[in-house]
Amino acid sequence: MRGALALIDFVRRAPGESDPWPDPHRTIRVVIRRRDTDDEVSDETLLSGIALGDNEATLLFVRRYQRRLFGLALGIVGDPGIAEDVAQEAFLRIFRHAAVYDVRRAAVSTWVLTITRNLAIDALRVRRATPVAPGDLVFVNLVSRDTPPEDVAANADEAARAWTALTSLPLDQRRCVVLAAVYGRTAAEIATSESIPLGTAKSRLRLGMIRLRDAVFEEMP
Amino acid sequence: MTNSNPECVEVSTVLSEFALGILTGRERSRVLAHVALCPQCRGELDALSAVGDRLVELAPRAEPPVGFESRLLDRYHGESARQPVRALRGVALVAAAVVLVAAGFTLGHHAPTQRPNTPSLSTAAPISEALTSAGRTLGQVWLSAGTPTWIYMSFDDAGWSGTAWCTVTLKNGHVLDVGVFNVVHGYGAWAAQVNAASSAVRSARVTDAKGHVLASATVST
Ligand SMILES: [Zn+2]
Repeated sequence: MRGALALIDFVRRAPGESDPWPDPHRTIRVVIRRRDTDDEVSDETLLSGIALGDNEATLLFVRRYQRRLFGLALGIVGDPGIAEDVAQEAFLRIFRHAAVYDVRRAAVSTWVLTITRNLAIDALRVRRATPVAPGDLVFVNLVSRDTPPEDVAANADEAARAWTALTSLPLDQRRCVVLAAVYGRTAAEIATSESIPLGTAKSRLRLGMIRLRDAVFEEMP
Repeated sequence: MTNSNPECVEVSTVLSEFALGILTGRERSRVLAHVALCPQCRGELDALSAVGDRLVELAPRAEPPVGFESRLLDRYHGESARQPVRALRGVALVAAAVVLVAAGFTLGHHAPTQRPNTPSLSTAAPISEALTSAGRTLGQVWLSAGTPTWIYMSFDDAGWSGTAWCTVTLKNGHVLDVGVFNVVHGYGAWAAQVNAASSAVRSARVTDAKGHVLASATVST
């Protein structure tokens, strides 16, 4: 079956056209967005290809997401071997559920990263009694230094905006928010690792999240 | 928030923790029960969850170990060839598998042959039908098993160019507009999600802007 491969071939075969994919009926998502870049086939199209058993779509999807899934898993579990297990399990789950994935529910990237995060947090809780010290967490270090993570600067506006909002928070709120949102640390765990009272951890988290919510959504319709 | 309902105020103190999946026990149950009934807090929860998703997207990437891709694909293809149901956990997932497998088996004489003893969730047989016009095959349409279903179509040397409108007719007689795509020099390929079960689809039809039927496919049952 030619599946998504045929789609890609076609897209490559028709250069120089004005965007041949007009806005779809609003109940569906049209699947081709851009051409002449790695992103020429949308995540949704690749998922449809995976659901249809298309090997090419599966491979493209893996290549598109492996650095993000592995990077997230590695950041959380701190061990390359466990991170590989987690990232592979996440991919397998995604493949199994590609057919029933509902594009209206969430963006594909959100879905796959959430699966990865939750698997990584589970793996950590199962395998380790004491979580990694925040000083060893790459992302916590990054947000403590105001340096954007690799790829963020050149990434989508949304990511850049989220990054700006995050780095505009007071440093202590920033650390609490990242420890909870990315690493799945509970308020009690954050209190311990940051050496602060539980109430302080909870309020930093809450205040940080509310400020981010305001910043992320204020420019949205 | 200006809500003065005491329960809302109380829930708001831990809503961020709940949104990030780090709340446990009684506190978690209380938030769940409250947001089920309170649209205002549910809206706030959705916004905070979206913030959490954005933060996860910012996590740094990392290059997976050498051989990651091939190990993953080996596992995936090994799993597809064996019993993928083994990997399913929980009643809901098994139920989903049953639906998928049932859809794959009951529909479409053209569905790729699949041995009944080795049903595969990830590659549940898509339905494939020729898109024809006056007996001539112009392209192909695929429907993935499940709900919602992915519809995927391609045209090869269809002999015309222009905007194509795709509609799907369900067995209950309802007609769904699926979307619009372009065919250039006879070639086009496109995919979209249809908010219906694949088993409910009777036929797909492609028309031009004036409603003339360019090609159609009937799903055999
Ligand atoms: Zn409320």
